[in-house]
Parts: sequence; C-alpha cells; structure tokens
Amino acid sequence: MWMPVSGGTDLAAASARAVWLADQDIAIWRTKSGVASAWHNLCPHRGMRLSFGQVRGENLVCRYHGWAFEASGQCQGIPASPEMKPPPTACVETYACREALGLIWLNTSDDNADSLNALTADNEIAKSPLFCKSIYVDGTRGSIVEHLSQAAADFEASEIAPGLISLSATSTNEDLVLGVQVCSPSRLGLHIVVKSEADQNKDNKRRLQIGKWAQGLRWQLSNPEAMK
Amino acid sequence: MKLHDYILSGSCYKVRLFLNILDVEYEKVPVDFYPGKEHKKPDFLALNPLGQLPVLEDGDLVLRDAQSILLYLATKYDDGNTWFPEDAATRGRVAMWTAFGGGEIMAASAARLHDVLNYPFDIEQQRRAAHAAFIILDDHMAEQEIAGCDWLAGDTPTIADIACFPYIALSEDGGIARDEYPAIERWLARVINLPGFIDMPGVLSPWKAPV
Amino acid sequence: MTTDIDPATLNQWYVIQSSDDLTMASPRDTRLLGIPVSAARRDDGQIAAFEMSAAGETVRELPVQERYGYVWTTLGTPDVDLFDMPEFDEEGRRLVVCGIATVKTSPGRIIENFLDMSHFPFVHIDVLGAEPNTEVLPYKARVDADTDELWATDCGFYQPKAMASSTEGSEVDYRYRVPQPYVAVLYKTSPGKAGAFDLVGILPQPLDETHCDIHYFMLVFDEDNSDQELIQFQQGILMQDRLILENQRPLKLPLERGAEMAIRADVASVQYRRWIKDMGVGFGVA
Repeated sequence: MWMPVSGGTDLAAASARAVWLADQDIAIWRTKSGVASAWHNLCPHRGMRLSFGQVRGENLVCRYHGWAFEASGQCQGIPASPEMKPPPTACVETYACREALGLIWLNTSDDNADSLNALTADNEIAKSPLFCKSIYVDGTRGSIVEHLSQAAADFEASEIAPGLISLSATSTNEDLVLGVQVCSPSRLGLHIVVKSEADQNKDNKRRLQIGKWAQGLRWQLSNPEAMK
Repeated sequence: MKLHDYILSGSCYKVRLFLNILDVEYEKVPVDFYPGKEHKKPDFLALNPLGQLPVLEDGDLVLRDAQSILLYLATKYDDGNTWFPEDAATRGRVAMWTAFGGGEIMAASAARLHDVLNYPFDIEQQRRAAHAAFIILDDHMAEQEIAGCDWLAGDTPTIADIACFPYIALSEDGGIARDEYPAIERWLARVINLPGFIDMPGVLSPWKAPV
Repeated sequence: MTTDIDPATLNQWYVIQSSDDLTMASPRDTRLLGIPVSAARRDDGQIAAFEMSAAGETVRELPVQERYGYVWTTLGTPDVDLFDMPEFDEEGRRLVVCGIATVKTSPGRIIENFLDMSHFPFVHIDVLGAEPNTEVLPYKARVDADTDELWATDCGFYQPKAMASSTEGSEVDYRYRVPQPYVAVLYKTSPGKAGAFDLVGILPQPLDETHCDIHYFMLVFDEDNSDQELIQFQQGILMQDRLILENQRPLKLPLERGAEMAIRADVASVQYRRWIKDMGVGFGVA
C-alpha cells in the first residue's frame, strides 16, 4: 500500500531525514540530482540510523563510519578499507519510493506504479499539484475524517482512499487534498496539497494562505474540547 | 578580549560561532562548568552574579548573557552592519527572534542538561515546551521562504539566527527529534554553510569532501 | 532482582562515582544493573554502599573499594581482584577525572565505540581523524588467556589533534585493553613525554540495560595544559560519540554472529562480542 510521508519540496536535494510509518523508522533522502529514496533507517554495519547521514552527490554516507550507499541501497565504498570492493551483503533494505500529487510516497510491500497512479491521478489537483504544508497532530486514521469535518468548517471531508482525504470547499472552488501519514497508532502527519495556478506569485500567495489556515487547523485538531 | 567559556555550553557556542564568523581574535578562558560547578563559586560570581556562562570581557567591559554579547559584538565589530541592521523594523524583528533564542528555545537546553548531566528538570514538560517553540519557528521559516527570505529576521543572517541556532541544532541531545520541522532543517543547513561557521560537539556539520 | 542478572555481569566491580565527587555533602543515589544503590561517605572518610529496595529500604551492604580515583562496588562476588593499572604509580603522572556523561545505550555499545578507530574521521572530524586518511591498517585483537583480558594492539591512526596538548597532527599508536566486559582503557602515544603512553579510560556504570552513566578519566604526562583544557577536550569527544550511540539500533549489543556486518577494521569488535558471549553475558545484549 502506498503511503505519503512528506511534501516533495520538503525533501531538499542532497538532504536526508527520518519519517515514521506505523512506528517504523524510515530514512528518506534525495540525491543531488533529485532522486528520492526511502530506506529502512539502519546501516547494515553497526546499526546507525541513516537519516543522520550526509548526501554526497548520488550517495548517502552513513554518519558513523562513512559507508557510502547509492540509491539502490548497495554500498559503494567503505573508507576504513578503501581498496576493498564492498560485498553485496553491504546493502540497505529499501522500499519503493515515488513522487505523485506533490508528495513523496512509499510502499513497503511492492513497487506498483499503477496502483499509485490509480490512487493519485483521478484528481483535479493531480494535474498540477502544489504542496503547501505538513501538520502533525495526535489522532488516528479512523477518526481523522470526522475530526476534520468538525475542525475545517468550510469544507466537506471525505476519504478518497487510505492515505488520502479530500477536503471539498463548500463555498469556493478551492479544494484541497490531504495525504495522511500514520506515523504511529496515535500520531498523524497531514500533507496539504492544492491545485497550482502555474503562476509563481499566485502560488506563493496560496501557500501562505493555506499555511496560515493549516496552523489554525492544527490548533483545532489539537484542542478538541474547544471545538465542542 | 576574553571569553569565559565551556566547550559543551550552547550559549557559549553562540558567542564562539559569532566571533569566528566576524573573524575577531579572543582568548578562551575555560571554566569548569562540569563537574566542578566553578560558575557557581565566589570567584566567578564576582564576575557574573547570575553564575552563568558565557561572560565576555573586552577591555574594561564585562558582559553576561549570550544575546547581549551578540548584540555588542555586532555593533562593535560588524563593519558591514548586516548582523544587527539599523533599519527600525528589521531591528525590531531581530530583537524579537533573538529574545526567542534566549527565551522559549532554551527549553531545549534544559532538556539537554537533564538528559546529559542529570539536571533535575521536568523532562516531559521541557520537551513539550521545546516542541512548542520549534513549531513556531518552523511555521515562521516556511513563511519566510515563501516571502523569499532565508533567515529569521529577513533576507540576510542576523544575530537572531546565531541566537537560535545552537540549541535547535543540539536538540537531539535532549531527546527532541526534528522529524516534523523540515523548514527548520533547511534553515539549519543555511547557518552551517555560512562563511566562518564552526561546529561544536553534537552539532553535525557537513564533512569536507575527500581530496 | 540480582537473581535475574547473569553471573558474568553481576560478579564485576563497577564504578558508581569518582572519589572526589562522593563527599559527605554529596551522597550518591543511583542504579546499578537496574538495582537501586546508595553510597555515602561517612565521618571517618570511608564509603558505605547499600543495595536498596524499590521502596527505598536497605536490602544489604555492598563491598566497596576506592581505587584509581574512583569508588567501585559490586552486587555479586567477583572471582578476581580489580585489574591493575601500574601506570597510576608512575612519577609525573596526572589523573584527570572528567565527570559523568549519561547516555541512553547499552554498556556493550559504549565499549565497542571506544574500541573503534574507523569512526574517527567521521565523528571526531579534524581532531582524532580526517578524510582522506580513513584507512584502518590491519591490527591485532586477541584475548589474553592468562589474564582473560581483551587486547587490541598495533593500532595506529593519523590524528590532526590527538590530545588537548597536541599542537599538530601526528601518527598515533593505540593499544586498547578491556580488562572486564564493561571497562576499557586506551593507551596512546603521549605528546607530553617521548616514548610514553597516555591513558584514557571509560567506566560505564549500567543504570539499566540501555542507560548508562559513563565515568571517564585520563592519566597523562602533561605539564602545559590545565585540567580544564584536558577535561573539556575529552568531554567534547564523548558528546560526539553520544549522538552516535543513542542512534544505533538496537541499543543492546547484538551478540549473534552475522547480526551485523564486520570488516577487517572491526576485528576488535568481533573478538569483543565473541568474548563476552562465551562468558555468558546476558545483560544489555541482544
């Protein structure tokens, strides 16, 4: 199953960070040329979390001993033994990772591009998505649609699929889509995407507006008593 | 110029970092913060009655409080006038975020002191307060980026960035992960890439590329 | 409960405080191997240490010895005396006690990190190592059958700043000694006295399986640098390691062969894991 874990623009080129999916520790990183990868956050050498690593060109270099891994997960170089070709066993467990709808998606069971397409393409926003902001709240997948309906007064919330919620604006034409990341059984990441207007100034205005709105939404979702 | 300094103090690091960026020479006077608690003893209290580090001596001037020291150094030694600019509105913003760096952000310092040196703080409360401060800064930097600004108070780095950087960069020492703050991560990378940047133990700076 | 702890772990001496820091005014309430322990210095200058119950009642008095600037105790019955460090009796030596660094990991991970050189250019950048000088040349690691201590010898590394007192880069010779599962001492070329070794020791006190108070010291020939310069140098090194240690998974040291990958530079770690596994160590390991 494909799950969103970050806005695409929130993973800068030549950077790495940790994301959580159902309490699984995952390192996402982007090469200098822009290729995104999602890996089990563990170096096969001494168990160091790879999210602390440094991206050098097309490799992720582990922070502990400098082992350099390329996007396929295979180790390319071991600094303590520079003459040695790293064995095939020196590789990281990788997950399928693709970008769609302005978000980074990962799949721990298969790499079926069609199923990701089916999930994300049937959507006005998908044609030209603009990622705006991620907010993190305590909550469960089971209750988030209901809480969103209460908190986001001008929208109708409905689940498109596990991992994707549509917020249809009741009064305006400005729909949103939320990628839902289940970080843990009690914590969610909501990644907000709107339709791009293909104009930098307009898009920036929109991102600013949605950003402010999202801060308010985050407050609402974090203070449920206030909503009653 | 003398800096009464402790290697693991993030507040001292604010000054060490800025002095290196400004390329100003100074002498480090190591203070036995731990395990000796020298900063709480009479000789040091005569220098700073608050019993805190850092303390800067420049000629006859004795200054405590990292934020005040940054302000003094920017005023005296920054010929380009960019680290504490004269424009009133910018100056107000710089003061606001510098105060944040010496205020709300310091919950991350408390969490670190608890986890590393067993200071008797309420760790859950400190971490909550640190996260609350980090969210504010992350939201702010995301908005700054949209406005074309890469720094806390505008489009050039100021002492506000120096004041906020250390304890955010060291947050993991106190059990505060930054997974949920991508705008902060981008801003940290910019600080790390400033000419004259130096790190301290616990701050992960980029490695030099192999020759 | 001490009955849950394997004998190899239990029957060791552990540091619970430095001698200078255990004064009449500052007793030590702590944990050792998950068990509450209290220690205080009495009027006559002697230290009394006790195993306590979870409710805070005294269970029994524990054996105590003060040696090498530290207070040692045990929850078990060690077969042998505390190991010797004859360097402590050498003229001109200076003991520098660095305090405690609390780290959330197992004692075995801490020892392994201490024995490892290949991380120097990546964790202690421009101090204990620097790229491109990353190669770890072959060295020897073996358990001395007579003393049942693990030694790694013929280790060498180019270090930009080997000790606080170093003013330039140098090739440094290292020897590592693990006299008991959770103590390690390193002997490195002394910048202060030609032909001699300086000692750096780590003495992790396992509070629990994955939480330790690391006591650490230096024993050096150095007439130029203040205590503070030496201490702060070492504290900086330890804080750099701490970030790594707290981010290895699992926190407990994996003892099964093949659990993690080893290369030639890891021979000390391979020997160490095999040695403590054969001993029957079950605390803080996976």
